[in-house]
Amino acid sequence: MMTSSKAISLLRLLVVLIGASLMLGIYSTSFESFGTQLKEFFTTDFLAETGASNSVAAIYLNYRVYDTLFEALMLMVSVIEVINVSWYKERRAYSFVTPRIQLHQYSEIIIQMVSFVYPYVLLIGLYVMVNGHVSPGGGFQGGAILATALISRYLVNPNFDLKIDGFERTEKILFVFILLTPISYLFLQWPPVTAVLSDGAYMILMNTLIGLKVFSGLSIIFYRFVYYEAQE
Amino acid sequence: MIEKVLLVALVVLAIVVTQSNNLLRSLILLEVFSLLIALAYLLYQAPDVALAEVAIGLGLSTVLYLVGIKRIRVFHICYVFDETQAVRDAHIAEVEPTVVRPLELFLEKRENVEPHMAYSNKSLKDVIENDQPDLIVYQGAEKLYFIGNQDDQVYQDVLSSSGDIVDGSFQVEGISIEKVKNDDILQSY
Repeated sequence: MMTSSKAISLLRLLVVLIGASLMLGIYSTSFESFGTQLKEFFTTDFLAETGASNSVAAIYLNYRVYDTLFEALMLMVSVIEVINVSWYKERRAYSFVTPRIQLHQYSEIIIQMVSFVYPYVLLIGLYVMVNGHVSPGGGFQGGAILATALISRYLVNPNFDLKIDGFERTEKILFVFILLTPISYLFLQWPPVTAVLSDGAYMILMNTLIGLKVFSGLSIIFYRFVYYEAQE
Repeated sequence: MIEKVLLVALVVLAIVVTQSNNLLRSLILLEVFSLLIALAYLLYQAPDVALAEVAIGLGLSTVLYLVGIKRIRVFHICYVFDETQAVRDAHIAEVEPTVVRPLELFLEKRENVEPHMAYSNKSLKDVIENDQPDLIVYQGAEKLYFIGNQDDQVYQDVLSSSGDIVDGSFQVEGISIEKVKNDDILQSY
């Protein structure tokens, strides 16, 4: 492996410093000021218009829901790409003895502490997901926290006995529902069937769908990477 | 005030992460960087972004890197001292700047393996049978002996660039581990 000499790495550092100071200097001495029309449009009266106390949730679920649809599509495409790149063959060992569970050398401290914390992580993830329109959080953050719970399960028990097919199917079905809900509720403005389907219920439904989709997607990505690495 | 300290710490940490030689150290410092930047997001009144950074940067990204880093090979080195006296810190401090530290640097930067040092004063046969290291460094009367497997690519690289690693005051000779096991070739040295 070739390593660059000390002079070249010093030159690299110098170029980085010069570039960073140039950008910061231009930014801090520029006196062109933009108005704050967009900020005022988004942050005045979002509670009455959208029914969300969290302005970020109001933006990504109501004002800019088009971007959310494409973000969900992008996540699904990246999951498809990870599945495509990391194909693996199931190793079937022909043996008369049933294989033992893999004993690993992970420390006992980690196992006990993670097992203790595991249900609370699930609870926090669900809370952040469902309460996304009122407190900071939302679908994406809740889904990521739920994926962290699944990853900690891998840390404690590194046996690959989870079937990924359920996750893959769930993600595709959820994507269809994520597409259907804003199109029918916001774009076409179909009148709701009962008065229960208000803005708040729409937010909770969208947050839950996005959270579960992100959870499935991140779990698939993680398990594919880890399983592919385990094949020597 | 705390904002300025945080931003300066972030820049310093980023520079240390990219310039460090040890892979595991860079990884843990990257984790600390992720934590500090989540705090910075919070100070700039963006709690959603801070939540996302904590959940993804600490939960997903770090564990993925840790799992990926397991493929890095660990290279076991055993430095065998004279049999008569116990190994003390003063002995280790003697050999550390001249032999041990350049060898570790060479392995980390050129060969991309993770070196693990061990010091022992048992006989060579004991060390080979019980410990099974990848490389044994034995200090003879005049020369320094590097003992390892002939088919090991890393060992061959270490031998061929031993002139760069060790000071000019040492002469290095490489002996295959099979010879030491079978012939007791170093009893006379």
